[in-house]
Amino acid sequence: MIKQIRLQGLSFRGELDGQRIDFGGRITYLALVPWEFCNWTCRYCHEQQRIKEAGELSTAEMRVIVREAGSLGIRAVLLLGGEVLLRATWPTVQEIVDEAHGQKLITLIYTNGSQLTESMVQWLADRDVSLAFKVDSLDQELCDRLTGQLGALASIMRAIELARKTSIGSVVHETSREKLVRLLFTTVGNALNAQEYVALARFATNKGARWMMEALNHRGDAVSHRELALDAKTHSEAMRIAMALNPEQYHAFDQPCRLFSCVTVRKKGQIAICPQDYSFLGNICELGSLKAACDLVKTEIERRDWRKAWTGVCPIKVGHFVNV
Amino acid sequence: MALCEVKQVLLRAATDPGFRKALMEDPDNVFVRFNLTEEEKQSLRGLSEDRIAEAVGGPDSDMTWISMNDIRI
Repeated sequence: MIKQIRLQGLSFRGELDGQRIDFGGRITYLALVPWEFCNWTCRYCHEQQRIKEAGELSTAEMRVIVREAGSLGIRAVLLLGGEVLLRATWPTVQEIVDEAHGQKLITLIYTNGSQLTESMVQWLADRDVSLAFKVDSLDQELCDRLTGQLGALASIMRAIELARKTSIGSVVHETSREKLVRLLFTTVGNALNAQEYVALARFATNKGARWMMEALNHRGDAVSHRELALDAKTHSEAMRIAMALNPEQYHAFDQPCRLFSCVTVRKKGQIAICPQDYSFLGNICELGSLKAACDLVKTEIERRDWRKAWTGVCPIKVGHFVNV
Repeated sequence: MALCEVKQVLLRAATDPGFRKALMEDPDNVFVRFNLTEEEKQSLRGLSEDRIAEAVGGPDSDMTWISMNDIRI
């Protein structure tokens, strides 16, 4: 029987055993963007933000936010950059992850893996962290081209194999229908890699990973890199085929997006619902607490009526495509 | 343009019973006629008729896939 693959951090162990989480009633995820600088120069990434800026949150402030997340009953911390796992930022990452682990939060880190070492990944594995690796293409030339980095594909593969040697590569929990894993491969879908969705989904399954598609970021550089602009019909057809041929990676869209149960705090304290939403609702430094930020998010979700109006299409992403 | 090759296999399997039988019973013999990656070959092995139909889709099926994102699960 085909088992659907779910990711620890976005999904939770109890859910596989039938536990229901009240995503509408409380904030479940904290998405923290500690910085946006990166050692890679992906073409679709928002170039103007990939810098260190004045007024960014300190490590101590981020620890306070994570600690409060634990006290509020938030279940998972998603760490996104920029690139999170850099040698230079590692001590800060360790402090944040230690804080989250102490609060019994699941941490999920999005990374290009380029500076990941055996000791780093083991440290993360010991703290129950899930890792999300960027895999935009299995074609060396295209991968290098998309990431702006020579040898990117080899670098990603090296990092994935390092992670797979630890408990991050193991199945956390399994039922007759589903399995929970700690490895996620993310693909930023664009016009150059839409042909590869089938292969990318299968590759993730082969490696025991969940595959996640993020169609081109709306703040990304499709405007200045028109060759990346993704046609909605092409994308949709490629996704339909990829999911039909890789049912392990398929999940029905009948429930509203889980990120409607997320509070995002960006590097200077800006509050948003989803990490891909740049319509900031306020600033945590002014609000004074994560609880106030969560209340703001819940009010905004209700005001926008996103849960009730859910049709299976992300209200943020729907505008990302060239012909929608 | 590997997806074009996958689509060719699927469309032919959906419309040609002989080809579909060959794909289901002896896929490797079918694959030699197409330019497919190893992952695509793996994805095309062991397909049922229902799954082929699902992959080929109907006229209204496409736009529902616009924002697939696993954070929903």
